[in-house]
Amino acid sequence: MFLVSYEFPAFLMALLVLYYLIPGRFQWMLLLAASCVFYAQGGVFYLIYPMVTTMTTWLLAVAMGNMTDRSRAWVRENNPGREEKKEHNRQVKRRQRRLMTLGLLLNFGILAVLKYFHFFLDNVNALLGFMGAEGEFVCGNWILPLGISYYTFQSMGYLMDVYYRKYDPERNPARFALFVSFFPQLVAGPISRYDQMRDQLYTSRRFSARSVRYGAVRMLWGYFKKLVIADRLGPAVVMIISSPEIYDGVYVLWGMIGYTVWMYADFAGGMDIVLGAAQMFGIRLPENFERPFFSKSLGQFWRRWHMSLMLWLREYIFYPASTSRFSAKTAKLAAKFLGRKAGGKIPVYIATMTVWLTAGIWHGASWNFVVWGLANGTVLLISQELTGWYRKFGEFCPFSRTRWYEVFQILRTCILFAWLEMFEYYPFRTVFAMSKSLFTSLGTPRTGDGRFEALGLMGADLGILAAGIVFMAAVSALQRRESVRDRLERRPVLVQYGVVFGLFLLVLVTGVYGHGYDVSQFIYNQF
Amino acid sequence: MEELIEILEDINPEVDYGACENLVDDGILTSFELVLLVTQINDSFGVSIPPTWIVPENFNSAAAMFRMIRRLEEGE
Repeated sequence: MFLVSYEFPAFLMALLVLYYLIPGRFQWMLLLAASCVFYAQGGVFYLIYPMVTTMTTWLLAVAMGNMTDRSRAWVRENNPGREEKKEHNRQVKRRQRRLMTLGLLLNFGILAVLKYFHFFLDNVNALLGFMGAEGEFVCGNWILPLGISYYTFQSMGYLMDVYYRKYDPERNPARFALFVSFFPQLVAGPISRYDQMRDQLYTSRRFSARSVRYGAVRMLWGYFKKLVIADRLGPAVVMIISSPEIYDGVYVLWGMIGYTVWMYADFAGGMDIVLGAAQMFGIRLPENFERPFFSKSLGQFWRRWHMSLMLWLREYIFYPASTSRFSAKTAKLAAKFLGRKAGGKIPVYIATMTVWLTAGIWHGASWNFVVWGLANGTVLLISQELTGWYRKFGEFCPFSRTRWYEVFQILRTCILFAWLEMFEYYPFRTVFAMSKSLFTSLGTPRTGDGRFEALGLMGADLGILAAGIVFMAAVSALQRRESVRDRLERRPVLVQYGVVFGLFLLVLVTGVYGHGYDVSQFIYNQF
Repeated sequence: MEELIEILEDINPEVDYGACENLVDDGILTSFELVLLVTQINDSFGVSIPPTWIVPENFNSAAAMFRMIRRLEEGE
């Protein structure tokens, strides 16, 4: 069952009615049962994967929690001296680290095998071919369990939090299972933290018309982004980016812009549906987007796009990696050659590139994504090194303090992001060839040679798309000051219902429903 | 405290560290700058800030950072 399907709203409505009818203490159990049903629609067999992750993570976290409890009890009973206490803690942490490592290896191992084994095999075969070996390794295909990257990262974040003693482990396996498998976020995120969710998932809730209303409007807005913009734009973008030998020059620019808008409308639209659905149950999931196209730098952009993944990478890779003993030793060694200040930057740079390598690999099992991740990391590091120059520029150039300069920064960031996205869909050398053709063949005809017509975006479709994008941008701009739903809430009831009904009609009439292709899955479901 | 302010000003000289109390919450210090700060504090003060201590409560102001350093020096 996909979020964009006829079944999902029916499933959601039935579940909502049941949820608010049953006694509060059973509500979380109903959500757990519903989450299992939701996931099992893709095949009952595939439930095994999230179940294995859930059970192994729960068991290991509880084991670590038991060690912590016994350790605290020992300290209370024995009142040890400082050095004795330190040694005792060191031993406990060592044992807990083994359990955490076991959990990480097992679950990331499952993810690695299921998602990356074929990529690994392809590279082994390529290497063997390069060395002149005949024959190749072959392995059958399998379907990737839906949402495996999301629930694995979420669970492993929980395991690491318990190891770091940010909170005590959840002792009830069924409650923990709900945290892992809560259906709105199971297949495409956002990646949540247990301490953000535990006070919400298990709390008894009374029916709140406001929550249901807000949630429903948000879902409708998500369907608008997905069905009116993303699914209309998608096929044209795919055609442009998959045929660089045909679509060069000005089409490269359209491909860049189109791919970026498509990604955003699809992913952010999906998040609106997910967060709106959760809100109808009174549950606030973390936001994944914060108007990224208003960012003034690439760094700021990545603090506003897919925020839950970026936060995860920062908390569980960037901070630990850059403050580790290995990093401290690297900094000392680098300082001997580069000086203390520059030497101190080296481990931070290594950690940054590690984060972006992980981000790239997380997005897909191909060298394109690896290069995309490293390219983003490189640009961010260069930008960081130029910070001092930007400040000097700010001091000496009055233009840098104007609104127009802010507009320039925003446009520059959008173009830079869109250009870097090219590494996701073009081979490495093609990115530069296409970038060059952008300048050498910018004047290529838009229509008349058949290329534009082949994209299938003519007349009404183009008009709807343009209007939809402008509408989406306008709402985003309005949201900078205040939530549009809050503004709407203050209007007369007739106006509120009029706007919502209008939006509903817009989605119904102008949404793309399987014309020429099946209702497309969300792009980010594949992760 | 003076040494800490020197480190902070080296990372971002445009901030009034005496007055600002939302360095992390307001995004004045980015996560990259935070980590640079952590490595320099570790090096200058001979402490080892655990990654779980890189939270806004410990880094929102120079005073909060100084209190954190003191706790680490006392062996917490």
